Formats: sequence, C-alpha cells, structure tokens
Amino acid sequence: MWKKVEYGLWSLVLKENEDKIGFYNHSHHDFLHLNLNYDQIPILIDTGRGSYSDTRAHSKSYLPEYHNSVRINGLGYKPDNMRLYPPEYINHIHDIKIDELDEKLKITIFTNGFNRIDKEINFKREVSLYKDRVVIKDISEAKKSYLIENFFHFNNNLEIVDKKTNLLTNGKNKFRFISNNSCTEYKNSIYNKDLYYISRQYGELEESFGYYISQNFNLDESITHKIIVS
Amino acid sequence: MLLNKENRCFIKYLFTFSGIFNTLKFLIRKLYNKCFRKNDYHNYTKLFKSIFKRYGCNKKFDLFKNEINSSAKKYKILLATKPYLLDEKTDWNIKFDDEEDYESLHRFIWLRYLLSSEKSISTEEINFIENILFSWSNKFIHECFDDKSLVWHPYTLSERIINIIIFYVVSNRKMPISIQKNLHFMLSILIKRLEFYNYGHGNHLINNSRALLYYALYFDDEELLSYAIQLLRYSTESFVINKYTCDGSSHYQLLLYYWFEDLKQFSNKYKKKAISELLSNYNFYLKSGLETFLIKNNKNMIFTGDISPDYPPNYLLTLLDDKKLFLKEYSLNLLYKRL
Repeated sequence: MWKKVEYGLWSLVLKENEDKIGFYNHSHHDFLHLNLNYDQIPILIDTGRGSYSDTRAHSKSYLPEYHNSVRINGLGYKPDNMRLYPPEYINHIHDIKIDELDEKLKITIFTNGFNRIDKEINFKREVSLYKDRVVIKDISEAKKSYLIENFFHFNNNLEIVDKKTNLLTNGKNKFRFISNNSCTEYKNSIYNKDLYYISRQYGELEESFGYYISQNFNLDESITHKIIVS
Repeated sequence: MLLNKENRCFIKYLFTFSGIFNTLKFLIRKLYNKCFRKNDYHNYTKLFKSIFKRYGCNKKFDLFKNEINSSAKKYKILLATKPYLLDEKTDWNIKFDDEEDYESLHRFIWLRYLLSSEKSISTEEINFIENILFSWSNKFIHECFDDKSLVWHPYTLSERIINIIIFYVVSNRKMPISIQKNLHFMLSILIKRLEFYNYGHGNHLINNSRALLYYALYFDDEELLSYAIQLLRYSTESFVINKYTCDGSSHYQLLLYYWFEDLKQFSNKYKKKAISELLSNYNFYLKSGLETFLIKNNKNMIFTGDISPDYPPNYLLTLLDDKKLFLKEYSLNLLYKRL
C-alpha cells in the first residue's frame, strides 16, 4: 500500500495503491501525494487531520488540497464525497513505476481517476530525485486545455528566508522552491482558510505554510515544480 | 449545489449502460440497508452469529446502585482535544465543541494517562476513580440506560471495558461486586453488537475482540477466551495485508500496534503464551510496515491518513522509545511495568 524510496539524502513516502483500502477506513485522497524528507527531516508533508467534527477547522483535511497533490478542473482524482456514488464510478486504475537512471531516480505515478472529466486525459506525475533537487512534473496528454491546481505543504520547521524567491531553510540546508507559474500562499488563496494548518495530534492545529499554483495545461504543456537544495 | 462539477461528470457517467446499471445496483443496496432494521447480531458471519448467540443467551444481571461518598475533589483529565476537570458529580452529558471529547470521556481513555504517569497512582486517586465509576454506572446503567446513545456505541463500550479492567489490575484493587456486574452487563451488550457492517469491517471489530479478550482473561472465562481469539484472528487477518492495515493511515497503524502490544502485556500477566505469540507475530508485520513512516530513530513519524482522537501519536510512540515521555510525564512502558 505504501512505498518508501530513497535517493541520496532524499526519501519519499507515497501511496503505492489503493486496492486494499477497506470500505471503513481512515484513508485520505492522497494517491499522487508526496511525503518528502531530506536527511530525515520532513520537507513536504501531509497536513494530518485536525478534527472529524464538520463544524471545526481542518475537518475536511482528507481532501487532495490538504496534500501535495492536484485538482484538475476543480476535481480530485476521486469524488470528494465518495458515499454518494457507486464504487464503479469512484474506482480508478492506478500504478507506480520506479526507474533508477543515470544520476536520478524517476518515479512515475499514473491514475485514470481524472478520466471522468475527459477520457483523453492520461494523467501522469513524474517525480525525479536527483542528489541536489527534486523535480515534480504533471502531465495531462489531453487535447483540451484544463485548469490544474497544484498544492504544496511545507513542514513548519522550515523558515522562509526570502519570500520573493521561495527560499527556505531548516537551519542546516537551504531549499528553493521553483514553479513555472506564480505561487500564492494559502492565506491568500481561494481555498479554505484552514489550508495552511497542520495537525500532528487530533484537535491541535499548528500554523504552517505552502503554495497554491493554478494554470492551464494540455497536450503540449506539462507543469513542473522543483525543490533545489543547497 | 446539486449541479456541481462532480455531478456533471456523474450525469455523463449515467448516460452509459454500465453507469445506469451500477447506479441502480448501488441505490437498491443502499435502500435495502436503510429499510431493514438492524437487529442484534446484524451482519455477523454465520459462525460468529451462532457462537455469540449461544454464548449470550440466558445471562441474568443482578445490578445494583452504589452510594457515593463524595470527596469533593476535582481532577484534571485529558480528553481528545482538551483537558477537563472531572468530579464525582460531573455532568456526564456535557456538550463539547468536538464530539470526540464526549466519546473520550465515556471511553475512560483518560484513565490510561493516570496509569502511565511517572507518578504512581495514589490511594486517594484510586478512591476518586472508583467513585467516578459508581457515578457513571448509576447514571447510564440505572437511571437512563439507552443503548442507542453514543455512550453505548460498541467501540466506546469496548474501550470502556478495557480501561476499567486495566485500572483495577494496575491499581491492585479488588473490583467491587457492583462494578463486576456492570462489566458483565456491558459485555452482554457488546457481544450482540460487534462491529460487523454491511460492507465488511474496519479496525473497530479488532478492538471489540480485544475487549472480549480482556474480559475473558480477567474473569477467567475460558469459553469466551477461545471465541475472542477466533474473532481476533478473523478481524485481523483480513485487515492487515502485506504489513499495512486496510485503514490507509500511519497513525491508525500505530494504534493497532498499540492494541496488540497492550493485549500482549495483559495476557502475559495471565501466562497465556499462545495469545502472546500470536500478538507478537501480528506486531512483527505491523512494525515492519510502521518503519516506512518512522524517522529519527522512532522519535517521530510521518503522517498519512487520519489522526486518531483516541491516543496522540507522541503518547503511542513511547512504546517504541523507552526514553520518550509524552507531555514530560507519561509513557506506556511505565504502565506495563506496573501490570
């Protein structure tokens, strides 16, 4: 169900498949999500679950935007409210492939979950781990253009050194986050105001930060994000 | 909004033959599950229905109320999201912002902290808790018993049975007859409502079996013990696959690891080697799955999926790190040393 891959000082924990998730579960919509660590220190994180109570903050944190994941045309790879739809509508074919290449480890994550929007979408997320950087590339392959929203959540042990260049530090290393489009901090995004919280214990919220990026993509364009360490 | 983006996609799906067929099948099943009354032993497999129906029949309970000699003391206890001042005249139906606090109160999860503190539990505290147990029983068993309320949800009931028993074992106090009878009564409710559901089972059924095992060990009920082991095997072996649980959550995997470790420690006290070996075997696999999420020599973990309101990750991580203390005071290893 889960996979841990390591390359240099990077380690990545990701969901390998969702086939064995039971009907009664505590799973999130986190296929495509990346837990990224550098030298045992979490860099990109899952925001946790603050509450089960609908009226409280962070109760919707099972949704893709609370993960380092994507929405296409406003939709996740599976419906937000799964109890409303037949399982055959929800189930998606998915796969992960890992290739060790010269100077990098390439992980390709595939899901056909977005095909309910358009059968021609052939969504792939390629994550390449180099010694000094991580490159995350989202590919649609559809003829039509669709809005893709990317979400990145950073561990709150990182400090922002320079807001303009998205330069972060954990005291030991510096990390630069580079996107091919402008990034918006969650506080200023269209999403819920609790998107910039993380919860490491039920009922407790800590402020953190992350980036929201929205842009169109189609057959010719892929979306690329990078984290470079120095 | 009825015609949101998702529903527009779903309408497109409905215009396919398989779409309309699957949706009809789905709706008929939903309707069937809604219309048919959920009786006792609902959804049990044939085997467990016959076992527990036979075991549960003809039990009589001679329950009685207890007088409380109030000490007028108040103790701060930890609930799911916040501390709460508990006294012997507490309002048991108090409303919390988060329902999990209410459930935590009635699961008696807060007892665990008292039992796993660096400070040993005092006689004064033991007397206070016994009064609390009397107060709770008077209210929910004698005055307003309602088995449909959250208080009697089988998961909450399971935790309560376990925590009351471990309280008496760790504090080395003889359990009063009235509490024993209340536990017999609670068990009779639990065995009729084990958490077999329409679409299978989740982790709750494992905790139900843990409660049956605790009860069977404490009250030396060999018959129930063998049934509970069968249920434990059934619920676990279909739920832990290739070292991960079907929950899809790292914290819930740690919680399951804790349930098994806890039960193992408890069964060791009763010298049940076979149970202990079975649980060690389960935890061997769970631990190797947990290693995917553990960082910094087990001091921290990566979260995926939900975070359970029952026990905070840092409290459960004390199991994997002897030197770690939760809130600078609590460690599960301290509790097990007192067993």
